[in-house]
Amino acid sequence: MSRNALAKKGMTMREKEIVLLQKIKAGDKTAYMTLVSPYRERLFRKAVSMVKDGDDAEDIVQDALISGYKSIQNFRAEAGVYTWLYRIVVNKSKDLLAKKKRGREKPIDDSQDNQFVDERMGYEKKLELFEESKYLKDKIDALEDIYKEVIELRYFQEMSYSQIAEVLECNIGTVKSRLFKAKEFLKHSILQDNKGEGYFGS
Amino acid sequence: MALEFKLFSKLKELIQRKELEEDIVLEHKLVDLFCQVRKWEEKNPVRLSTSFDERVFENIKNIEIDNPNWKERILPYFLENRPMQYGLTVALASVLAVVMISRTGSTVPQSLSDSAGVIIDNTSYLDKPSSVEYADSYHKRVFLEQIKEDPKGVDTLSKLEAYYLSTGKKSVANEIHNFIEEARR
Repeated sequence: MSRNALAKKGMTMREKEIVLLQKIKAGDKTAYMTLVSPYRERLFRKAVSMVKDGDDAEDIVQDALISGYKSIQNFRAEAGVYTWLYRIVVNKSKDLLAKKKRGREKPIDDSQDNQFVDERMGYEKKLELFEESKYLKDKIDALEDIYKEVIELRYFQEMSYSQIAEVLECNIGTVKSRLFKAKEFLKHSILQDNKGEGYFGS
Repeated sequence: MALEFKLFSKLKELIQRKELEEDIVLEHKLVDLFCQVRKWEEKNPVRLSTSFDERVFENIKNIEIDNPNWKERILPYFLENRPMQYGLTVALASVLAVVMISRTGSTVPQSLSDSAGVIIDNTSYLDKPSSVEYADSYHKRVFLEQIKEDPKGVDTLSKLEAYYLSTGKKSVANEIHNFIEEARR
């Protein structure tokens, strides 16, 4: 049953996912493709942003989807399909980066965030932002990884605290504390630049 | 002093209000930033290779879903089920409290029972109370006469009485005392 057919039945996204999960567990492999198809591109983009290589990123997403299928019995519906796959993709990307770092296969230039070039895209993808937003983005990029990650999950991926906790494999209290600290660091960093009055006063 | 306190509270209030304003502005700017990033991503979609879905499908066609063993199925339930963990903790704490209260609040007197020890009767154990009293009056009379004839008999019985008194077996000591009294008459 396609997503459109499920949508026609007036089900919520979560209910649709539960129906598809039941079908997958009963052996319907096409149901798995239907389940994951809305998330492939977002997962691919996440993988690209981490490994900075389109081919590697595609392999990671493919591996993640295969691993996800194999371990579908362990998936708990309350976690959300995207959160679950996102965690697999992030872990696989981290594994690849660690492997590359060990083997010194390819140096990673972190300053090139969101500036990946891939022939499949047809043109240079440089993140275009307003000046003020660019300034804030630079400040976020300068944060420690654990704070950067929690900001991204909350504001970009728009995940709930429990979903972030699921991805980061920690409890909700830790998520709240990290998010609070991340914002405090950002504020402190902006105020240190003597931009406080103008930035927060605008 | 009151003026100082007033000024301090006012200043604190102002700082807190400023911090709150900063938090709101930052929150707004973060939302705005990531909204711009999302819009940019929508305008610049990434494309997986055209055969991506086919490759994934071919791969999953040849693999089976892993069936978790009983440990993998049960452990997450125990580890992640907070209400059950709290319930178990409360139940264990209650059992512990009941045991502690029943042990400390017990009114059973700490006295040694008068017993001759354990007698095994077929397969059951009988805790017979000890007694030196003779049910048979003939044997009692013979015993009393023997004590009367032997001057050391009363001494021995007195020592025995003292022994039973020291061990707390008062009823046996009383019976021996009665024997001694009768022997002395």
